[in-house]
Amino acid sequence: MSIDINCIAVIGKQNNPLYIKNYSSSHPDLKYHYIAHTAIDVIEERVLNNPKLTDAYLGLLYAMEDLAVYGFMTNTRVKIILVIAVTDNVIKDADIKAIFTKVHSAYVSHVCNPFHNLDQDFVASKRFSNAVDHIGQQNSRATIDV
Amino acid sequence: MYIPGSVVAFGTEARHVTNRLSIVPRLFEHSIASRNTFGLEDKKRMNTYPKDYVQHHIPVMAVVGLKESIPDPDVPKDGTSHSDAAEDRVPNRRRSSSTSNQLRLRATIAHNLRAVLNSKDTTTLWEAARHSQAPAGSHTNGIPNFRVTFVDNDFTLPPKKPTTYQHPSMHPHSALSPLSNQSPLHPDGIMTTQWYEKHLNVYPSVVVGFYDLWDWSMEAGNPQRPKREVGPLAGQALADPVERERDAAMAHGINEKRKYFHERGVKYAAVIILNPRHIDDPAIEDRLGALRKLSGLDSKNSLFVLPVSTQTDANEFINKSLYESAQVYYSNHVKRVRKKLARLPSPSVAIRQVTPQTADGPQPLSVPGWLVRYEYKLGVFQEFRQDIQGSLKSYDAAYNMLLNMLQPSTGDGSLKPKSKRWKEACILADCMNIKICRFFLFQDNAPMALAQLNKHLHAFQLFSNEWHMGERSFEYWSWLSKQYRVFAEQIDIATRHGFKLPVPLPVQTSAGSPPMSSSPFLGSGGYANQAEGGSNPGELLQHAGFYFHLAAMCSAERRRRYMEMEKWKESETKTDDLTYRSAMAALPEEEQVDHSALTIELLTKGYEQFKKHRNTRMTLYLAAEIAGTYYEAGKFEMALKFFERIGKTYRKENWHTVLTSILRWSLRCAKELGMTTSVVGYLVELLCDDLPMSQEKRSELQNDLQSTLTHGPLTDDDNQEPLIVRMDDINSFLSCHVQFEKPSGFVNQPMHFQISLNTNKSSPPQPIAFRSLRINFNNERWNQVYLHDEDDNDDKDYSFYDCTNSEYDSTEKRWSTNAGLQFRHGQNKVFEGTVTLDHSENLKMETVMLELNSSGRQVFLCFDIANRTQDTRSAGRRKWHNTDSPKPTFLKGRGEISATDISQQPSKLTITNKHYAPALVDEHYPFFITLTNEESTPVDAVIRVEIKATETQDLGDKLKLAPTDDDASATSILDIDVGQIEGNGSKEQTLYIIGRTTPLTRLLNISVRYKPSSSNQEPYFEKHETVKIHYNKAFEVKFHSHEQHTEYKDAAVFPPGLEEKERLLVIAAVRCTSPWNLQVVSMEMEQDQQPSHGYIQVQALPKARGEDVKEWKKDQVFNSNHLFELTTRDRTAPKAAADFGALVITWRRVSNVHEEMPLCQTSIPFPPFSFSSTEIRVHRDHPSELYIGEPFVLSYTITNPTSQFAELQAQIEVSDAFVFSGYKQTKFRVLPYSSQTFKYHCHPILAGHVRLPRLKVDISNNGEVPATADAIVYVKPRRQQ
Repeated sequence: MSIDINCIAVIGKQNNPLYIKNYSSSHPDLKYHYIAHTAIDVIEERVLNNPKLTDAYLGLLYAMEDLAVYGFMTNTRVKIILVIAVTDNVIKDADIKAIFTKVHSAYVSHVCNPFHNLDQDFVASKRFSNAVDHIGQQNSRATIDV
Repeated sequence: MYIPGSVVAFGTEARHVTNRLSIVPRLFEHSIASRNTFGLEDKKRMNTYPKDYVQHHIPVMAVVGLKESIPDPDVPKDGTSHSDAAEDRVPNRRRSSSTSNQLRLRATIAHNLRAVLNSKDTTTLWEAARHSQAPAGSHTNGIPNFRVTFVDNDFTLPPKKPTTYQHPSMHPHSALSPLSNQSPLHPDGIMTTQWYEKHLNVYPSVVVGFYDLWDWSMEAGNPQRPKREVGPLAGQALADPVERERDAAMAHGINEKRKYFHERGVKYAAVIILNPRHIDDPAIEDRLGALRKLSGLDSKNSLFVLPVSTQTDANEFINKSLYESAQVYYSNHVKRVRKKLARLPSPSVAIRQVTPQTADGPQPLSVPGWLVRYEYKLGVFQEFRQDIQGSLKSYDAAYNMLLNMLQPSTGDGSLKPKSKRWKEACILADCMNIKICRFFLFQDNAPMALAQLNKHLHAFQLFSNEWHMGERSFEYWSWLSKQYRVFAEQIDIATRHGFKLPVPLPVQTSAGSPPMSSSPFLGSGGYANQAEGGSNPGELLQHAGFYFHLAAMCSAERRRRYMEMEKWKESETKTDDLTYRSAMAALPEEEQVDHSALTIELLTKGYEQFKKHRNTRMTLYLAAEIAGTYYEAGKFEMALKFFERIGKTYRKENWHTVLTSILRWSLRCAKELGMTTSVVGYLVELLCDDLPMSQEKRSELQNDLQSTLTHGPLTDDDNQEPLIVRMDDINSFLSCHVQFEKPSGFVNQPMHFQISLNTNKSSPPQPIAFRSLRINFNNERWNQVYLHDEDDNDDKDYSFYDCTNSEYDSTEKRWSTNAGLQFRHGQNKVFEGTVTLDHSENLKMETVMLELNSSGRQVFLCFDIANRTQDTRSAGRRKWHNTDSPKPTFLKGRGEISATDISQQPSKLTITNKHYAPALVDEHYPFFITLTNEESTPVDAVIRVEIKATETQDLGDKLKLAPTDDDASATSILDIDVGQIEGNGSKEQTLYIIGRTTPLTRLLNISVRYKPSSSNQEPYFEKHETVKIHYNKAFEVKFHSHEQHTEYKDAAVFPPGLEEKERLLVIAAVRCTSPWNLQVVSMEMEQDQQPSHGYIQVQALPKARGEDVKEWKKDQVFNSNHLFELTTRDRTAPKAAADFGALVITWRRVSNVHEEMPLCQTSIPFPPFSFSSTEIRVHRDHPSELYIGEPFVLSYTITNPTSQFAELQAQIEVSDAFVFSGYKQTKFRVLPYSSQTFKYHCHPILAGHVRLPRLKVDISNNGEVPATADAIVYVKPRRQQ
C-alpha cells in the first residue's frame, strides 16, 4: 500500500470541524483546514446529485495541486475527509475505503461513550485521537518505508 | 431576403485582374478592423500567444461586391479604386438625388449581407462542429461556418509558382519557405504567423461574388423604361436589347473570374441580387437563364439569386454548397503537403546525417524540422476542413517531433536556448499543446486531454532545468502559470459548449480511455489498474476553477522567485549559477509585470468558476488567497475587505484554525492602515481559547492589546464615542451568563440577579483587570455599575461578589458598588445584584459591558443579552450560584432568564354567587353575588354582569337591580359599583334577571375589577366568573275548542240573511310546570285592541266566575272555560280565522327568600278562532237522560251553510234498542244557508249502552254527508215512580 496520508479530518453535521490532524510536513495545518472546509462543498454536491448513492464512501472529491481529497459521509452526516499526496500511482478505492472504515469505527466507538454529549462541543478522547493518529501515521510511515 | 429599392450596379464587375506580385500578405481592411475590436480577453491572449496559432480554424471565404462603400459617393474613391463599372456609367454630373437614394439602399443591402456573413468574429471548435459534418460522417444540421473576408472587386490570388522543375534544389520556394531568402524563416525557422496570414487572408477556399442585375432604373436620369410586351407572342426576342447587352457583359465578367479561380483550384460562385421590379418581370427567368449559360456557372451549385426567400434560406443555400468546395480545397492542400512530407527522408536517418557543424552561421532547417513543419501544416489544413481526428493525429506527430527537437540532451542542437528559433519553437509547442488538449476535450476524452497537458508540463519541466530556467526561476513559473491558465480557458469553453466533466464516483466505469501513449515522461500509464476500482487522482480532469487556481499559485510563486532575484541583485552577490544569470537577463522585462494583479486576476477567474459550480466554500478559500495577494501587494484595504467578508462563514462553522489565520492577517492589515478600533476587535477575538495558538503568541497579543489600549490613539476619526466590541459576534475569551432568580415579581420586592463571567481555560494568559462592569437595563434608572476594587486580590477559581448593596448615585444616575474585576484564565466570577422596582414594569437586562482599562477613549466588551437567541430545550437547567461553593443549585426551567416581569401584587378577592334554579320565564329571578375581600386592606370593586343565551339570538333578556315593574333601568349589561369592601369583609349584591320567551339556558358573565383602595392607579385586577342558569316555563296551556250548535231560525225567510253567528266553547287547560309553587293572583282574558279580521267579530261571553285557587303546585292543571261568539256580517265571504287575544296569568313565585317579589304576568295567546265548517252537516239532538219506556224526540237537523241549493236523500237505520216513528226514507231539498229538521219519536226498549237510530244523508249523486259519529247513549232503566 502506498497511500501517503497527509491529513485526516472529521467534520460534524453542522459542518464544524471535530478533529483535523496533519500527518505531513509538506504543508501547514492551515492548508488542511482549508482543504477540509472546501471538501464539504464537494461532498454536499455529490450527495445531492447522486441520490442513489448508498455507500458512505464518496470517492475522490477533488485534487488540488499535489493533494487528493477523498470523502466519506456517515448516516448521521458526519463527514470524514482524507487528504493524500498525489503520486503517479493508482489509488485503489478499496484501500481508501478501508482507511475510512477504520476512522469511522474509531468515531463510532468514541460517540458510543455514554458520557459523550452529541450536542456539546466535540472533545476528542485520548483513545479516539490515538486510534486516528495510528491510522494516519501508520500509512504515512508505510510510504516512507517504501 | 427581400431587399426593397432599386439597386445601382457599381463595382460589380471586375474587369481586369491585376497580378500583383506581393510577398507581404495583404491585410484586408476588414481583418484589421476586426483585430482592433478584440475583447480584452483576446488582447491578453494575444499578448501571450499569437491568436492565429490558438484559435480554431474554419474555411475561409472571400466575398466580392459587398465591400463597405465610402459614405459619400460624390467623393472619388481612393487610388486603388478602379475606374470602371458604376463610376463610368454614372457620371457625377448626371447623378440625381434618386440615384444617391438608390446608392444608400444598395449600401443597406450590402450592410445586411455583411452582417449575415460576418455574424461572428471567432468560432469555437464546438460551434464549428455543430454546423459541419461530424467526423463519423453523420451530417449535422445548421449552417457551416465560414471565416468571411470582404474583398475588392479586383481581388486576385498571388501569382502561381512555376509548376515545372527538375531538381529539388531548383525548387522555386514559396515566399515563406525557410528556403527562400526573403522569408522570415530563412534559413532554419519552422513556422511563422505570416503563414497563417497567407491562409486566412490571402488564399480563400471559395470566392463568392455578389452582383446586381441591371435595370433601367439604375440609369440615372432615365427612370422610364420601355414598356415590355407581354403576351403569347412576347418571347426571348422581345427582351430589352439593352438589358441583354448588360447581362452579357456581366456574364462575361463572372465567367472570367470563374475561370481564373478555377485554375487555382478555388471555387467561384456568383449571387445575383434582384431588385423588386425584377421579381414581377416576366422576362427575368429568361434573363437569368441566359446569364447562367453565358457565365458558365453551374446553376445548381454556383449561381444563386437573391432574394431566394428568407435570409436564413439564402445563407444556408450558399454555405452548404460552398462548404463542400471548401473542403475539397483544403483536402487538396492536405494532399499536396503529404506529397512533400513523403519526399523527406525518415527522421532517424536524418538525425544521423546531421554532423555537428561548428560554423558560426545558422544552419539550414534540419530534417526533423521539416517534418514538424509539414506535419503541422497537415494538422492546420485538416483543421480547416474540420477533420478533427486527422488533425489531432498530425498535430500529435508534429508535437512529439518538436519535443524531441527541443530536448536539450538528445535533440539535434539546432534550437539553442533563448535563441529566436528556440522561442518560436517553444511557442509553437505550447500552441500545439493547446490545440491537442482542445481536440481531446472535443472528443470527450477528458483523461487524454489532461494527460496531454501533463506530458507537456513534465517535458518542459525537464527541459527547463537544462535551459537554466528551472523551478528556481520566475520564468518557469510564469510559463507554468500561463499553461494552466490557457488550459483552464479551454475547459471553460468546452464546458460552456456542453462538455461534461467526469465525476470520480467510487463505482466508476471509466469512459474507455486508451492506454497512455508510451511517453517517456509519465512512466507506466495510470489506467492499467482501472478494473480494480481505483484511479490516479492526478489524472482526474476537474473544472476550470482548479486550473485557474493552479495558474494563480504559479503566478504567486513567480512573484516570490522574482522577489528573490531582486534581492540577489541588490545584494550583488556574484555567482556562477547559470539559472541566476539567465534570470538576471530577463529581470528588466519582469520588472514591468504587476505580479499581484496577475495573480488576483487568475484567482478571480477561479473564484467565478467555483461560484458557477456552487462550491461556495472553495470560493472562500480563493477569496482568502486573493486577500493574501492583496496584502502582499500592499493593498491592505482591499485585503481587509476580503478577510472581513470570508471570516463570517469560518466563524459560524467553527473553523477556528482558519479563522485564526484570517484574524491575524486582518490584524496586520488593520495595523498597516492604522485602524486601531479594528485592531482592538481582532486582538480581543484572538484572545479566545478556541483559536489555536501558542501560549507565548497569545501572551504577545495580550501585551499588544494592552499597549494599544494605553498608548494607541484609539481614534481613527476623532470619534470619542465609546468603542464597543460585540462579544456575541465573535469568539470570546470571556463567557457571560445572566440569570434572574424569578421570571416575575412584585413591586417593592427586591429582584435578585446574577452575572456569571467565565474566562477561557488558558486565556487570558496574564491576568486582565477591567475598570468596571456595567449592567444595563431597558430602564436606565436601574443600571448597575460595579467598579474594580483595587484591593481585591482574590485569585480563586471561583469567587462570588455580593453587589446587592449597590447605592444610587444621583449625579451619575446609576447604582454602583465595588467588586473584584481582575480575571485570570480559568476563573469564574459571579456577581449578584438586586433591583427593587417601585412600579410595575417589564424589566429587561439589555447588555452586560466590561470596560477595559484604556487611556482616552472608553473601550467596552459588550455582551448583548437582550438579543441572544437560546434554544430552551437544549439549554441546560437554570443555575443559581452560591456564595461559597462553585457548585450551583438548579432553578426551575432551562436556559437563562434575562427579563423579569414586575407587577403590583394582586389583592385576594373571591366571588361567590347564590340563586335558586331553575329560573322561570318572565319572572324576576333574584341572583346574589357576594364579594369577599381576603386581604386586610380595603379594595374598591366594580362588577360587570352580562347575560347571554347559550344560543346567539337576542331573547330580550334583561338585568336590573331592583325588583320593580319599571323596565327603564333594565339592560343586558349591568355595571354595578360595589364601592369599598373593607379588609376581610364582604359585600353582597343582588340583581334580578328577567328571561323572556323561551326556557333556554342563559349564561351570566360576571367580571369583577378591583384595586386596593390606597392605589390611585388605573390598572385594576380583574376576575371573571361565568354562571349557567337553567330556565323553565311556568305554565303549559292546552286549548280545546267546541262549537255550539246554532239553529237557522230564519230559514224560512227569503232571501236568507247574510249574518251568521257561531258560538265556541274554549277550554284552556293550564298546567303548572314550575318546580316551585306559584301564587296565581289572577287569570284573565285580554282582548286584542285591534280586530284581526274585518268580517269576523269575536266576542267573549260572560262566564261564570269560578273560585280562584291561590297557590298552584307542580303539575296541577286548572281548566278555564270561555265561551265565544263569532259573528260575520257576510257569510258568503271567505271564511278565515280570527285572533282574539291572550290569557294573562298574573303570578309570583312562592318563595321564602323574597316575599316582596313583584307579580309577573305570563300571557298565553288563544289559538285563532274560525267558523266550524262550510259543508253540509247533520246535527243530532236528543234529551240527555233516557229511560226505558219514556218516549223522546230525536231530531236530526241538516244544515246547508253553502250558497248552493242542496238536493238530499235521507234514510234512517234501524236500531234494536228503540222503536221509533218518522220518515224511513225521504228525498228533500235544503236551501242555501238554511236547514231542515227530521224528528223521530223514539221509545227505548233496551237499557244500557245502546246505539241511536242513525240518519244517513246522501247528497244526490255526490256521496254521503259525513254524519255525526255513531251515537251511543245510555238508556236508564225504568224510572221509579
